[in-house]
Amino acid sequence: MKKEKERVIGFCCNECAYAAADLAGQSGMKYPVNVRIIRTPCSGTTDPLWVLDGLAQGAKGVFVSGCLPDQCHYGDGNVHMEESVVFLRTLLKAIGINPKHIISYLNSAGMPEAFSNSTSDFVKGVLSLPTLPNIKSEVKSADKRERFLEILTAYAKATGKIDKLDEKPIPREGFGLITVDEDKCVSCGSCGYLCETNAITIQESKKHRKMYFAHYLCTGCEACVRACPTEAITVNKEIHLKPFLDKENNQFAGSQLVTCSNCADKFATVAILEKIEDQFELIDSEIISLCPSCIRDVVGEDFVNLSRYLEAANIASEEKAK
Amino acid sequence: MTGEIKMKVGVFVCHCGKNIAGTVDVKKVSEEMKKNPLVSYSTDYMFMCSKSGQELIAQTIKDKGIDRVVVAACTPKLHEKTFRRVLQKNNLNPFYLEFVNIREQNSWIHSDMKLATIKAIDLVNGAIERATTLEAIDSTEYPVEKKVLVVGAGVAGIQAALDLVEKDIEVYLIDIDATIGGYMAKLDKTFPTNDCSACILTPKMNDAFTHPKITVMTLTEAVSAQRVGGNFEVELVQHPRYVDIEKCRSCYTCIENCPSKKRPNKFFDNIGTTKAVFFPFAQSIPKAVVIDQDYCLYLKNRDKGRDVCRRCEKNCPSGAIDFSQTKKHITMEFGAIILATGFEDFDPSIIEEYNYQNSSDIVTNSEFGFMFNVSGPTDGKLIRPSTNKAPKSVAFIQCVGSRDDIAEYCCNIGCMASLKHAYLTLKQNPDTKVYICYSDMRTVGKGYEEYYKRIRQMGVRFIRGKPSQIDVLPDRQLQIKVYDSAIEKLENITVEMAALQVGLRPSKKAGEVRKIFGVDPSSSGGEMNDYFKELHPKLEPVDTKAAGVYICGCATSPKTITSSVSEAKAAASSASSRLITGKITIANNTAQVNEETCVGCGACVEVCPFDAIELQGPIKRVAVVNPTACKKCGTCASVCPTGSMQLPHYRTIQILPQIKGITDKNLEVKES
Ligand SMILES: Cc1cc2nc3c(=O)[nH]c(=O)nc-3n(C[C@H](O)[C@H](O)[C@H](O)COP(=O)(O)OP(=O)(O)OC[C@H]3O[C@@H](n4cnc5c(N)ncnc54)[C@H](O)[C@@H]3O)c2cc1C
Ligand code: SF4
Ligand code: SF4
Ligand code: SF4
Ligand code: SF4
Repeated sequence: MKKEKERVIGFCCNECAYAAADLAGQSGMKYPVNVRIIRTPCSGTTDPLWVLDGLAQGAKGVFVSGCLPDQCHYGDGNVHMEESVVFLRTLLKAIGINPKHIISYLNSAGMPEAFSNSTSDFVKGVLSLPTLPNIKSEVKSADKRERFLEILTAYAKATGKIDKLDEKPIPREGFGLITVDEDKCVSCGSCGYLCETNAITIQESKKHRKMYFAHYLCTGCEACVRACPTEAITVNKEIHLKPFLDKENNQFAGSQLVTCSNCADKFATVAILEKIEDQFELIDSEIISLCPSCIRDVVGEDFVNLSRYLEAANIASEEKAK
Repeated sequence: MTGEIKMKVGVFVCHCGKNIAGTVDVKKVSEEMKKNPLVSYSTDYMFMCSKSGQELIAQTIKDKGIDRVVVAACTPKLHEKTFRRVLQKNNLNPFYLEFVNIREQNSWIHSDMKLATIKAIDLVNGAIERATTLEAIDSTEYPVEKKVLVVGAGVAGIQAALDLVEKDIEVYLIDIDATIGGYMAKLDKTFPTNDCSACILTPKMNDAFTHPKITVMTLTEAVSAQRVGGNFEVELVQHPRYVDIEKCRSCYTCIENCPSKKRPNKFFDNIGTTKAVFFPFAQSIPKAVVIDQDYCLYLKNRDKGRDVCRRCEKNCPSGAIDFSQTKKHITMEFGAIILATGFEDFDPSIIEEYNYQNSSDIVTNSEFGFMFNVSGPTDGKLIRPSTNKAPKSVAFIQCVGSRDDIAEYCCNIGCMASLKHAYLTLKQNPDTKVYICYSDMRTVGKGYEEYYKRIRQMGVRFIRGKPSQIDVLPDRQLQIKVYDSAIEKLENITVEMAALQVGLRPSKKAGEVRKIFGVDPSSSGGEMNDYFKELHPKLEPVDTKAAGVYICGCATSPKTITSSVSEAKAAASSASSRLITGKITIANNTAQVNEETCVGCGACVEVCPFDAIELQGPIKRVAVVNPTACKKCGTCASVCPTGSMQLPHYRTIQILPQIKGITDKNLEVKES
């Protein structure tokens, strides 16, 4: 494409950047004709996805501009915006795209000259960069996470980086990588039930329960951490590009299922029983091989047994508390 | 949103005389848009903002049934409102307008007609794509109590209260101290007019206390607050005074009978002492004594089960002493909050070179000033503390804990305060030798420079420099080492007294108060920056990021009485604008959460600059936006990993089509 027909998209906050752009026009200043400004209330409004999408849709560069430090009209939206842009630049670099295609700069409403200078410099720089891979046709999803992934993957494929991704984590709110302490995890599945994004899933066969984790779906919400009865999970809020782009779904735990000696229902895992074995030692050890409803039925026949069981369980839990 | 229904977009491209049409081929733009299947009408027009231009839109809405309007003209900052009104008048939701800036950001910037036209086509095309996704936005009304809580009853808080009741708004004026009045009540004279502080403040204190619409509560602080609709539900705690205000006749009998004499006079920075039962100062309001539980013999022993003293109670002729009082919790709703918690002095003890701790003759400028107050600790007489006689020489040291490594900011009043104290000293004892060691004389303000000139003529010696050392000599004299940069000479001056103009700091509890009401500190870096932060340093100086919470006086930064009062009036005005109709109307374009997809990760909560989002729910947590606190910045939406949080009109499904529209076309435009 001819240079003058390349497009550069600018997300400008209504309070400062957009106002400075207006003032530049009113004061007869110049910046390159490639610029297409999209108005946002605050610079913090600009979603990192929009910036990436601008590139993916064919813009040669994208800039985000807001108010000066400490002068954001919405508290500190500009700070979050700058963090987002730094994050995006790190990502781009990691997938083999020159981070110079995006930028952020701050100026006040009364700084039209600074605005047009920064904009001109940016556009000039961007136009001299090699053409970006055309990935437009590969970006289809309307889902935020999925679209984000599509763009990154398409670029990483186009640059060949996809096979040699750096393992360095990139910290960012909204993404998560879980670590599970295998000694503690009993494969109870609680985390999988509470994880709303399907980042953690449970797969059960006749004999086994297996737990899987997909980093690319994890939001770092820590619902799993709150769910886990054994405090086996920790979450780091960061992206690891390789498992993220590969959509890896890795098994992190698994245990054999236990069937009830009375009704043959699968009611626990071996790991769970091992963990609570001690508590059953005091009473009829048969009881441990019964599922909860059978415990009620079988033991219920014998009231004495039941009270013994409850008492023992109480002692056990009291001792545990000590 | 876009739904199945086919939108009909009307496009109007303005010539703005030659302003746009001189550089952009407006005909070409409007013709090109007709190719977009979403567009059912497209035209160019000489002046869209003119009456006939507006008519044209109205007519097209009626005739062609368009339901989204795209206007390509000047900056939306000029005429977005104009065109929204046209839509509204013609029964279209005003938010169905999409405004394209092809003047300030196109024709006035560029000169190549061909390229400017391509740019305009891109922008208008983007607008069309976006327009079809725009949702209608209505508004919701939230009732607000016409009742304001003013926290802090210094001159700022009092003035705010008085202004509010003028507008028929009820006020609760609370102060943590046992009297209202704040620092101004301790002053003798006030610069730049040297009028008596009590004479101008006492009437205001009385007005506030007796006004039927103002409830004054002393020994009271706010301990928590939460938003309920448009209101704040605030929990107040009133500490016991052990005196029934209604019954106390100010007869002094209790004070005469109290055997506990050693209570430091806290009101005047611990200069002198009071009894355990005392008046904070002579004109304190409410006009009733107060008992300090740390010094009252009965109260100190009561916990140990011993019943001693109670001489005040036994002797009070009106039965005003009430030892049964306890801490009271009061919860109440307010429509707005004004914070006016003022300032306090920086403690100079940490500056070892100045030996503040090591000589009673080295005082703060406040302590120095209190001595001129006739109802102050020395009955209005300036004395040298170590001898109880008038000092023969005095030096004022400016900027102690201001504009230095300890704090960057200026205390704003220090230069004028020292000039005033120099004047008062010389008026009392004309033979006193007076020095002022200053860094810069800052006398900006109406009548201030004139004041400075007058004091200069009184024979005060001005030394331009900050002392490096104040030594206490064996004969108790003070030796001050200072390099006078005006005459480039190291001076060693010996004086009997030194007054340190210490920096001003936010009041002790400013940090707590700030957090309770969701206000930011002026900058990070600890307590000394807990001055409340304004919404905008120039344009919104008394508003804060917490809608409905206003700030004024020295609680926002050190300043003079004049400025404190001006801000108080501004804060009262802002608060009354919020409450005057008894309801606030909020357009429903505050951030919205899709509860189905929200995973409760809290990323949005982290970033919201206005603390408008909360996670709710015991197991499945979801983000809930408080529309009365949200300022519509959209920062939350930008970080939401699931796309569950969206800002209306800036939804991802509205911006992505716009990007697509802008980048879609590949035109070769021929000059026409
Ligand atoms: C040495 C000196 C001399 C000065 N001389 C002059 C002068 O001559 N002329 C002039 O114009 N200005 C002068 N000033 C400045 C003037 O004193 C201030 O501008 C003025 O007092 C500010 O009033 P305010 O109401 O903002 O704060 P303050 O007077 O500090 O009042 C704040 C009130 O809030 C209360 N409070 C604090 N925390 C809480 C809480 N958590 N809950 C409830 N209540 C609370 C306090 O008890 C106090 O009553 C001088 C200042 C100094 C230090
Ligand atoms: S942090 Fe949240 S999204 Fe990630 S695995 Fe845990 S529950 Fe799922
Ligand atoms: S990580 Fe915790 S919650 Fe998940 S399966 Fe293991 S023990 Fe259960
Ligand atoms: S739009 Fe801004 S103010 Fe509103 S909830 Fe989101 S981050 Fe907070
Ligand atoms: S960031 Fe999104 S998913 Fe997370 S709590 Fe907020 S709305 Fe819910």
